[in-house]
Amino acid sequence: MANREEEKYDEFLKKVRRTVYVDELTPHAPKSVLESAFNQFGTVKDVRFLPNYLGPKELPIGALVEMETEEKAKAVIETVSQFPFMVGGMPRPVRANTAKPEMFCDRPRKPGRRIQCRWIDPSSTEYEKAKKAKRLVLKHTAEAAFVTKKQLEDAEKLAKQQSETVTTHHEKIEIIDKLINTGVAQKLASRYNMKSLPYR
Amino acid sequence: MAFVDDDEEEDSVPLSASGYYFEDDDKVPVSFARLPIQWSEKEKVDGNAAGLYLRGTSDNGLMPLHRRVKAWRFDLSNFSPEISVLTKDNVWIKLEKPRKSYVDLIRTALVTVRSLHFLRRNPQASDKSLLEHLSKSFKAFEVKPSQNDLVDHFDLIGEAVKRGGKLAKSKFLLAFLAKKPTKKRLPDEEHPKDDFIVEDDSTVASDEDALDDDDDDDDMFESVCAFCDNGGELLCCEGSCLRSFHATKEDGEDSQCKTLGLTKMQVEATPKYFCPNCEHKIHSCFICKKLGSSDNSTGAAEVFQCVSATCGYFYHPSCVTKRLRVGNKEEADAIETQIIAGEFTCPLHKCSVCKKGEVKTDPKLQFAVCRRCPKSYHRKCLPRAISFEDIEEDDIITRAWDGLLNNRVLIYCEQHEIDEELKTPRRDHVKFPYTEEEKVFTSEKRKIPESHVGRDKARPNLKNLASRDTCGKASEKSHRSSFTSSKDGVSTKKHGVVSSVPDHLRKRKEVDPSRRSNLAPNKSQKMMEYGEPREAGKKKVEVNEPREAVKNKVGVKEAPKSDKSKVSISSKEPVSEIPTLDNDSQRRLLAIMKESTEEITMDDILKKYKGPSTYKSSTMNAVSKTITMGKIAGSVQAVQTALKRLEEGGSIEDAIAVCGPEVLSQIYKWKDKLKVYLAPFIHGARYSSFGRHFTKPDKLQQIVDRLHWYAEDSDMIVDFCCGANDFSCLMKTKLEETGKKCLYKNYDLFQAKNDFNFEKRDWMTVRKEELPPGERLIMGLNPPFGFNASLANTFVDKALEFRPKILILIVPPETERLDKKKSSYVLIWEDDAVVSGKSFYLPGSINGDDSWNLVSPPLSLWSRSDFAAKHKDIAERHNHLTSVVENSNFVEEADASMHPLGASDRICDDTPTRRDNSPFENGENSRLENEDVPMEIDELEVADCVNNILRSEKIEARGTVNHHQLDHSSRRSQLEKEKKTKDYSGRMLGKSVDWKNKDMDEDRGELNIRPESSEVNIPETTLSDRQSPVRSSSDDIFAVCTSISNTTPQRSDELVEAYLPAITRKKSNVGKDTREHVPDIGKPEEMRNRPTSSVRPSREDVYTVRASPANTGQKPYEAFEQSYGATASHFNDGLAAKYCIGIGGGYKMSDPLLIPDQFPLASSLRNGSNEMFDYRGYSDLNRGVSPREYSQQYGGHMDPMLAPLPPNLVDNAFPLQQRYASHFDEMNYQRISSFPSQTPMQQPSGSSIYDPSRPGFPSQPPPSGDSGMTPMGFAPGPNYPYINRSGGWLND
Repeated sequence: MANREEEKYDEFLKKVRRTVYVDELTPHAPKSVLESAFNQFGTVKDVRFLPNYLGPKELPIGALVEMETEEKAKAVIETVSQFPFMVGGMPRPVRANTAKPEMFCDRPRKPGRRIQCRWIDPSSTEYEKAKKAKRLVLKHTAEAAFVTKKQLEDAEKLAKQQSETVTTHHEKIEIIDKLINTGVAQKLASRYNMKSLPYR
Repeated sequence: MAFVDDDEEEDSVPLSASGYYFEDDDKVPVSFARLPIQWSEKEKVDGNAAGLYLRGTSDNGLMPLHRRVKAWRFDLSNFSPEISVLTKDNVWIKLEKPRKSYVDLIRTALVTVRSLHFLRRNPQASDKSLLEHLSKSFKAFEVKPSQNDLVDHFDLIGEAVKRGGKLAKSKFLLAFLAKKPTKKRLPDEEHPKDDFIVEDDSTVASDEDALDDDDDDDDMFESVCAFCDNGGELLCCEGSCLRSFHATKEDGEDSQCKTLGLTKMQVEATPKYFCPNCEHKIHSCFICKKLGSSDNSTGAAEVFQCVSATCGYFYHPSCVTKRLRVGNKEEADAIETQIIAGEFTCPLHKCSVCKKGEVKTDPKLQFAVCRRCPKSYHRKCLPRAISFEDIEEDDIITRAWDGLLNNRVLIYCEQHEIDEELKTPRRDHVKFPYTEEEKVFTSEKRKIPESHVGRDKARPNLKNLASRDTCGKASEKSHRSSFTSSKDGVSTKKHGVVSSVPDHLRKRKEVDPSRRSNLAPNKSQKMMEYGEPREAGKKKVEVNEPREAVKNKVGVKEAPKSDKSKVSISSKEPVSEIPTLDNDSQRRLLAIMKESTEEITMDDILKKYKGPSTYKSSTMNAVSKTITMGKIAGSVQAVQTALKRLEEGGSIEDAIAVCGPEVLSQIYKWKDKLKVYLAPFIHGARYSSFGRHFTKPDKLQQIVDRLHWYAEDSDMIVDFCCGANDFSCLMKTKLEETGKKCLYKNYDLFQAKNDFNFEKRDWMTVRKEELPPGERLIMGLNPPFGFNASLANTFVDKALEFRPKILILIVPPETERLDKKKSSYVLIWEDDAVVSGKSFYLPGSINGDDSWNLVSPPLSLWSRSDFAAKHKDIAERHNHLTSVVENSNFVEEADASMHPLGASDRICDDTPTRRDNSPFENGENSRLENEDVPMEIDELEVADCVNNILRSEKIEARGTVNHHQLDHSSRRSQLEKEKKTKDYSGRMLGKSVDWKNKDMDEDRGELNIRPESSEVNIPETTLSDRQSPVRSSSDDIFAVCTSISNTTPQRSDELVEAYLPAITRKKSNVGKDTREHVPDIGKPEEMRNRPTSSVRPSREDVYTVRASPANTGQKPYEAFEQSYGATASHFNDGLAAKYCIGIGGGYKMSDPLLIPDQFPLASSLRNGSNEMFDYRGYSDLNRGVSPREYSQQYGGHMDPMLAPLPPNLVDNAFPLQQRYASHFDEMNYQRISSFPSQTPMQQPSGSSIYDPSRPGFPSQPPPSGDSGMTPMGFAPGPNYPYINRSGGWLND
């Protein structure tokens, strides 16, 4: 029994090792996009998103991309951290890291690990410890929420800025396009006897 | 800076010497650099000291030269540097090409002069770009130019720099001189490159520099600060004034510029900066300097801008007329009207002396423009008083500077008194509206006379005043709250509510909404700070200080009480919701965040992510700030005006004054850059490939099929840039089939998908010892091209180090040919058809539609000279030579690009058909031999093509027939059958339909051209004409058709059902096509057959082949499945987008609305899925048919707007997409065995999202941010789930 458990856990660890944790991912990138993006480095076995347990639910924390082999996973991490790698959308490079067992919500129980529950009497000294731990968790939660909020604000600011830039540039290119599409530019070019226009 | 004035001597006879060399009295060749140099006319050199003889020829080699020379000089002012020598009798002889053997002697001198020339033109140039330039210029040299060459001429360079001008500004030279480098820092002459390039690997460096060079020339707009007229780090105004400013104090320090007084942070946070003038549309008149409204939307403008593209000045009409001294009232009125109409070029564009215009290309006719008033001179017309240097005795101070403005001289004309300390006139010329109080600039050195800034009388109207008031207040507030603590240098001195706020702040507030949102947190933070002591006092027991809390039990209980509202952490009841934080911890967190944010700088990131060499990051950065809206709007306006002038009969010079040709090309360059910049936003979803391009596996297969003949046992196949690493695998399979054992090695910078003998490694780092000797090496394939093939060159050069026996290359045509190198390689064959058109896929690209996609990179096989004979022999035996390209015509290419090859391995390597011999038999034979369908048809004569087509069709047909037992009972219309045949065969060929159609197209083109086919040139008959080849084999077709009808149900019942919607749609198309074609089909049969009579024999052949159904019998299903699945699933990947961009036209027609919802033929179609294929093939067929003219047809593909679009062309979109999709499919090694219930019809609708009328850009502004991920913007790859999801809306 224990053996089988261990085997299972080993199997799981192997899976963990060949998995890449992808971070800084746009929430709009669906599984398929991720799959194909990483497919260029090797066959992607599985992609799953990490639900955001603490923050806004619609905002996945990241994704776990399972590659075929451990080596592939390593190579992917190396490549992605060496070169800016975009997945889906705005110029924001994703980050890749090794996955950790804790990231898998369906991880098998670690062999030999036991979880015991018991009640503690308020007068016991352990009661305070438990309280402390609990408060700490709550505090961390609060802090994380706060930080997330700030980060989202920042991100939004950045996005606004970027989108503004993009819109402006797009306007510009539209103006140019209009000029070119109406043939004005070409006409003038021919008047000037310019031969080598980059287009047509 | 011309070191030498052109003078009368130039006119005397022997102007130039070529094939020259110099020798001394002992007839020993020496470098001319031994001669004294004559820097200018005034400094005559003593020519008697040294004397050399110039030998060579003049007058294009007609006259032998033998002259004694005494001095030399060089002239850098022209396009390329000129070196001349002075003969004893004082005649300058220009040196052209030296004698070959002599080059080495004077190499260093040439390099030095060339460097000076380059550096003079590009003072900012780095050593890298210099090297790049030099290597380009001196390709022929055996030794690469290096810094060592310059060391030889250290004194010369020093002298040249001392003599001032632009050279003195060259960073590189200054550094070089300061360093006093000793010669040969690197003893190894082999790698002189390293002298220049220290850390970067050379490919990246050269590539970037090449791009930088490209950037350099877009500075037609002034690149000096509007305040101080000095260069440096500038912030461009986005508005129409076209000015730039020093934004921060540091930037303006050199010139004591008053600057905009912004902080770095502010600059970075400003996506687009509008100067106060442009922001309020109140500009100052360049003549009277008074402010006036320039907003002509209400017709109330007071000042008007000069229409010239590069000129941003505004004028009062009255000022202009006054200045021009127009006495005549009518004339003045006319001018004023012109000004008001916005069609006037200001006095700045005419030389104030000779009244002529500017010629930027001619140094003498370049302008010197005053920065304070609209006065300009030609260089040649410059009065003496405006001098480049101080002339003490005449009391002349410097008023002119070269090199600050591009191709122009910056001057202050005599009307402006030069401030002795500033070296410029008083800087009171820039007036921003709404500044009553001058800004306080903490210029330590001196106070800049500023008093005029705010004193303008041009008051804005009342309304403006009012708004200004509120605006001022508001911004003041914001100013206080957000900037009190910033060490901004911005004055906080208050002279009243309104004026206290510097303009830029107010502006910023409006322009940049993000700023505003900044305020809130800041404010609250401040409040927090205020409130903190109190709170802190109250609650010593912080929940976030657990230690304390634990120590103090009471505290724990108190905590919830003391900050009930803030911290809802309660020790009593379990808290499910996330508690809020108290201020302390918030502040702490903010501090941490800030700290960590500050730790990361943009530079770090850029350093960390060194983009791959093909990734144009440098251009992207350059784009955002320099290409301002003002410039673009101005230029566009100027182009229009210029054309208008010309059309109204104005002179070219007039038009050029408005908008020079360089402006025009600049617009195109901008467009390019913007496109590059926008690419990630537009194609963001598939922007995940590092700008690589892979050769499609099917193309690779073709290459493999050709290449494997040359391989021998124990050869090593090296793919130096393997991409997906398909090549080696395919090669291996092929070679094992043929019983050869080879080794393989694959390199790439990126992890390849396939690990087969892969090493993740830079090809440049592979050492010679690591690979077997060259006799056993087959090397090459598809390197990154790089800018101007620079990367391809480096890759090839590297490969040559190994001296492989074979180099197989897919490189752009501009790559340096191996036979031009000193490498003794022989071209065995070259083929630009194999990988023509869309033979590559870019897993996401920034410039998917760029030129290399249009100009197909030829595939070439090079042999080391000692293997050449052998390989030539092999090539001949296998008919590889036929494809050596002689007449690759555009038609072919264009069409090919629309028809990517199928991936079926039925497509064979061989080119069975030669132009000159009986193609048919030849082809047939080879086909039998190889069990392959001939495919190299590019060069074929019509008949050959027809044959091929027929053959391939028939083979398929036969196969099918055999397989399914003929059933002739079907009563389909001929047309339908035809379609079927085509389709079916297409399917069997595994998408090689494309091929056929390509041939057909070509065919047809030729048919049309041929005189005898003129009879079928009636528009309707073009179709029949087109179909003639098919028609001629109608028997087969018939058989096939019927067999299809029978068999399909067995095969794909489920499919039919699953695909019903799609099918019906398809049918409708088919129907439509049918309707269109039916009239043609009946009667002109014979006529159709006529031109293709040569085809006839083919039928027999075909029949004979039929005996071997194994060839083909099973294939169809495979192919069918493949393509089917692909069709169903892959369409809306990035591919669509990509091809939309790449092809534009091809996709153009994919508007689903055009597809009629009638199914005239539906009932007759028994099998939907077949119909789909039918349809596919048919539309392929149609494609060739529809446009009346061939050129049009191709035009249609490339730019659909040109050709009238017959409705059946609409169909083109389908096969294309399907094809690409299916390729993609294979590429991903995904076999679709189950068919998701997707209708292929979605594909066109999907692609139509991309506005086809503007290839490359969607019609809507790209969606901002990540929300841009619409279904069509997908990364390539199999996205079944997604497709399923998107199915709903696409179906509408």
